[in-house]
Amino acid sequence: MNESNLLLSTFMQRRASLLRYFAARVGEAEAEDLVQETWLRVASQPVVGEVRNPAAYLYRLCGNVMLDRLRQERSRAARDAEWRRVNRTLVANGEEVCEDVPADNALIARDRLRRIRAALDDLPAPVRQTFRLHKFEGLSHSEVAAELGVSRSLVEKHMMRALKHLIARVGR
Amino acid sequence: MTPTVYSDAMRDEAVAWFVRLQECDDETVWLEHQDWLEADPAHAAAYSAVERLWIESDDLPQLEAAEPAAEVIELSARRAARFGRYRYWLPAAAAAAMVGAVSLQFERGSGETYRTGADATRVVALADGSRIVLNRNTEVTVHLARNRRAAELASGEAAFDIRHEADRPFVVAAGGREIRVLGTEFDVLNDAGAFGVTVRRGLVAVSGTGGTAAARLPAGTALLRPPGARSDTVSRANPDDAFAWTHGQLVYADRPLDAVARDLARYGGGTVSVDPALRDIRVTGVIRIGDPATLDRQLEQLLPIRIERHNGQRAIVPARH
Repeated sequence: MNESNLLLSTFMQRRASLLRYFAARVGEAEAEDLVQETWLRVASQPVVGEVRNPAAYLYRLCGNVMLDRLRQERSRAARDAEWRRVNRTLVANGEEVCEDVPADNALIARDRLRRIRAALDDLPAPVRQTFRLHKFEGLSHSEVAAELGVSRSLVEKHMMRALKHLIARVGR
Repeated sequence: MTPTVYSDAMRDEAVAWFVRLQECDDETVWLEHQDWLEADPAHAAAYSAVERLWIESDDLPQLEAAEPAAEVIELSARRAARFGRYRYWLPAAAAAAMVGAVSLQFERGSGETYRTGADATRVVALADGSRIVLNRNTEVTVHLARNRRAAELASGEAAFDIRHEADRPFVVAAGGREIRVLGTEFDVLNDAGAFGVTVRRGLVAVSGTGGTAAARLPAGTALLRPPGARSDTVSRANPDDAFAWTHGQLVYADRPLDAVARDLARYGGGTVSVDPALRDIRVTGVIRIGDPATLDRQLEQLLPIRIERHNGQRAIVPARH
């Protein structure tokens, strides 16, 4: 059996567990859709790299589905904001139709990004570099470890420290 | 649905789970994570907050490209790193200077040249574990030296999947510009005056032209300069579209017909002109790469156009009614 068939059969066996994962994350109403989305990815996307444990691979795919769902929400919000901006411009010659203009999401996002950057700068250089290599240069934990000449567990510790600090500083 | 109130301790637990699970190959750890999620509904809320921060940080490289103030700090980070084993990305301005200083030097006769004709693509596996896929009508020369790796894209298009090596950066020269990478995957187009770089993974620095600063492209962005244009356009892009040709497809999402015509010329040879009346057409669709006649037929089915052939030259004109 090749790897993608193995993944498909593992998916069928673990379907209920994956559904339970999404139910715990977003509630039962949306969970079924997300399992379906995961199924589509298993069926249509080529397998990247070696699959050591098909079940763990599927859970990681679920994690990616959750992240992509957030990304889509964000770009939808950005599109809505752009639509409002353009439509406000259209009435700019007359009066503003609406008195309380909705807060500009793009400005808020940019402000939060500035705070993330400032928070990152608080951290010691090795922690900051670990975060950047993994997050922005796409290196895996073990590649970052090799790059910096440290252990993989130290890379994970640095990643945890960076994220804890960012989230504490920037908030929700 | 889920309560958004969670303690600092829960937040720290959520971060630990997030990092642990990123590259976790052990199903039992995932099942423990499931137990943690179900133990308290606030756990899921805390975990989502970590994910949101993770996604928000995606845009940090764009912010730093737009507001280079923070790069002063990066410079000092680099200075500190010189004593350690860290490597670091140069800030944009310094990168531009550096690109000038280390311009590619191909010793004559050294390096391996790979070419493709109009009928097939070619995959080249390099000794360092990197991989280059050559599109049709493409020529690439590769030179792997002890302290640096270089490739020159003389013409055409190629997708690079570069294996990360700490001490040997990989530099691609194309269209008089240089693209510096660490470990990353990106597509470079250098064809008939059009230049483009699309990044799927990692971070790439593209040197400027005429003394302008280098552009830093994070994953999911593309830099494009159409023929005759005087400046680059950097936009968000779906890398899968740019890489589609590597599995035999051309994918267009709202692209001008001129860009499609350039692809037709590249895949079918000869020149392809576009009737001025069609200049405003934007193309969205998928085309399977094949011989010129097949390409033309698919395009004629997709768009209100007709392709006329004359002495090896093709002209895209409005369809007859």
